[in-house]
Amino acid sequence: MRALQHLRLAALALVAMLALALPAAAQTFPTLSGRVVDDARVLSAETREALTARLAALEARNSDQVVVATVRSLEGHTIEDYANRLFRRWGLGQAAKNNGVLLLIAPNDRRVRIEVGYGLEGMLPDAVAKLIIENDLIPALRAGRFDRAASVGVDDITRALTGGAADWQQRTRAAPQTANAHTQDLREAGEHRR
Amino acid sequence: MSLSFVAAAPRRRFPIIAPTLVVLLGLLVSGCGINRIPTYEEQAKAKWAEVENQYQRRSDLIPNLVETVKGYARQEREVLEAVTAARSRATSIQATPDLINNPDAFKKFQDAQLALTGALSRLLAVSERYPDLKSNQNFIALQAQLEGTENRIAVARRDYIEAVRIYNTELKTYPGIWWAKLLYANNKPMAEFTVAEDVRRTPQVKF
Repeated sequence: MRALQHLRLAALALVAMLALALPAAAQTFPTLSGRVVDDARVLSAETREALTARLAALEARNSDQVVVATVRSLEGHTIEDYANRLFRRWGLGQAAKNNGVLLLIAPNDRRVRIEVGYGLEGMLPDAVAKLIIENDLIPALRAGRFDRAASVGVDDITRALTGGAADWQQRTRAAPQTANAHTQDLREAGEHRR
Repeated sequence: MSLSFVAAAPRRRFPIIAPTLVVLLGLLVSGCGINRIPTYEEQAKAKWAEVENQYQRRSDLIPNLVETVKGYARQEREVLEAVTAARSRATSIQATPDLINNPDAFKKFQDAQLALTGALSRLLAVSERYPDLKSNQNFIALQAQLEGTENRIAVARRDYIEAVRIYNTELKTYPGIWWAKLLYANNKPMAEFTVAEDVRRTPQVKF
């Protein structure tokens, strides 16, 4: 009798676990087919090729792994949540360095996000990512120019991750709490873009 | 050379068997889940440390934010004071590692952080009314950092919830139940977040 009860409990636990596992499994992600994953089919072949080459060059240069992705649907998730899950699913960057960046565009949900691996948060801090999105990506995306948005996004991210931004990166790291450092960072980040 | 090897062989046979047995026994024991409870416990604790870490980071950003807003919107004293008060209440709860084993303390911590989230969201909403503040570079940077931190809090909470689910399940299912009774009688289920904090403070930017 007792054994039966335990068995029933075990069965219940199994059902509960399956029920919990189902919603997680229901979320689908595009496969990581390359450095540019155009699941939403909004990029031209030339852009895909050009960006792939540039991102390969970037990784060869400093081992940072940047991937551009467009998705058809966020499936009800916020873009922050979706981008973080996708980033982890794909395991972008080197595990030891956590040096991946995901530029995610969801044309149908009209959202965009730059998800930065922990190891690159110093090079590409929140404030810079936000500036890139607001100043460069959103205007292009609003105009429906996806090729332009992806391309300019890769430009900006590359600049942040390589020498062009080294001066303000250093200051960001040296004095992240002081007001002047931020002001300086942002002003220069703005200038770099122009 | 070869002679001495042959002579040594029979003596060696037994000493080799003993460590092999130990290794085999070890594999057998670790394979049956004896280590799972402490392993999952440590994992959940590590995830909790990350939650605390991110809440701390948010707390550290607030004084600077309050000062910046004051410079442009001094008349919003009530909102500013609410944020400062909520912050000091949240930081007054010592986020010790054993917080997760104490449901009451955990709830207090959770409520205090939630109150701070609310106060901050009111402050940012009010800030929208001051164009000079909104275009202040320092404010823009702080706001971006705050948003980033809120996202990291959400991720850390999600990871913690998942780690606790695995740990608590292990305690309540077989063979974990047996091991818990036998060896880990002091291990209790860990506290879970009861309030969803997925409420976005700032509206997401659409393009």
